[in-house]
Amino acid sequence: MKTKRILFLSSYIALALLFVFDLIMLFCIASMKEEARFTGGVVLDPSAQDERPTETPTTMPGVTVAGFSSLTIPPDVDAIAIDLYNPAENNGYYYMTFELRLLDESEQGYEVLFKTGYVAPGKHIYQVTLSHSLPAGEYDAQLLIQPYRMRDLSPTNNVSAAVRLKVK
Amino acid sequence: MKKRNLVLFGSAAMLSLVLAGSIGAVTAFADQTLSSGGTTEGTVQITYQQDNAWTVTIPDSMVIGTAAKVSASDVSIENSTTLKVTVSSDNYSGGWKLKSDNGSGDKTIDYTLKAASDESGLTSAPALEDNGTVLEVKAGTVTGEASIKGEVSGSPATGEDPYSDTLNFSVEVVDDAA
Repeated sequence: MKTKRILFLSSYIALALLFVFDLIMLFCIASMKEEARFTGGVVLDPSAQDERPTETPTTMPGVTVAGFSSLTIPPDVDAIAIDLYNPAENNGYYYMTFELRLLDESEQGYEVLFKTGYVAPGKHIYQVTLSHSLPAGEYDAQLLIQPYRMRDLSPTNNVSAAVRLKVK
Repeated sequence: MKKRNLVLFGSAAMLSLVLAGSIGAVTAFADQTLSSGGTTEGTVQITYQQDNAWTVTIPDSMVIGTAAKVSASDVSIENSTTLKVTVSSDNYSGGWKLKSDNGSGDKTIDYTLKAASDESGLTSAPALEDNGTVLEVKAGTVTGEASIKGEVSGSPATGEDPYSDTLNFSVEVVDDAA
């Protein structure tokens, strides 16, 4: 008796599932026919989509660099306030590093006072720590601004600014 | 039993509250101690000044045979001075050279570099030497623009090696009297 009941129930469930499946199939076919009616009888691939816009332009824009030719800082301190920034015009294209070189008589011709890491477009560096403090006086320095392409961090042409460093 | 548990729970809660309050009080006290008497750390005003500011736009890279723009804007420099932009290259040796990016870079291609106030003037412009002047903007003039262009002057490239040169643009404010 119990077995009969189970069998009956299973059959009923199977029939119900089959019925639901048929309904779903009918709905899908109807949708495709409706679509075909508007596409001249051709059923389009639903995964096809609009062409994706290229993310990187074929020609890179120029690199915008902001700098100065005179910098005054206090003597005998190595933490100095400054304003170095990567202009927002470079957004999406270039990072930038800044390196201040104190010109001297060494073989290399300079010593590095500080070098920043990559600065993103629109960002500022407001404080740097010098490799050593400087006594009062005026010095010839060079600010090397090196841009890097965001897509692969390759260096671009760069800018070197002659800076008169006034320590007073 | 229930009453005992309630008492125990209530005592634990009270103890936690008291402990939390104590920690807060100690912190406040520590702050007060640091901010008064003894060795005081305050804010040191470190001043700086940046003068003779400018913005320049340079080409990302040079494509031989294609003119590129070099421009200056927001030029704010002392009277009787000129913002001068010059160009140089580490590859320069008796002339401008593209170097092969593969191997030791001993394969080179000579090229000439020219600059003019606009693209139409490039044809008749003289060839630049190392540290040649690309653009000058006098004090009182906020903007300036020039075109530069490289042309192959030696043997054309052989094989499929990529050749390139990195240009260094130097920016300097010079006295007009100099």
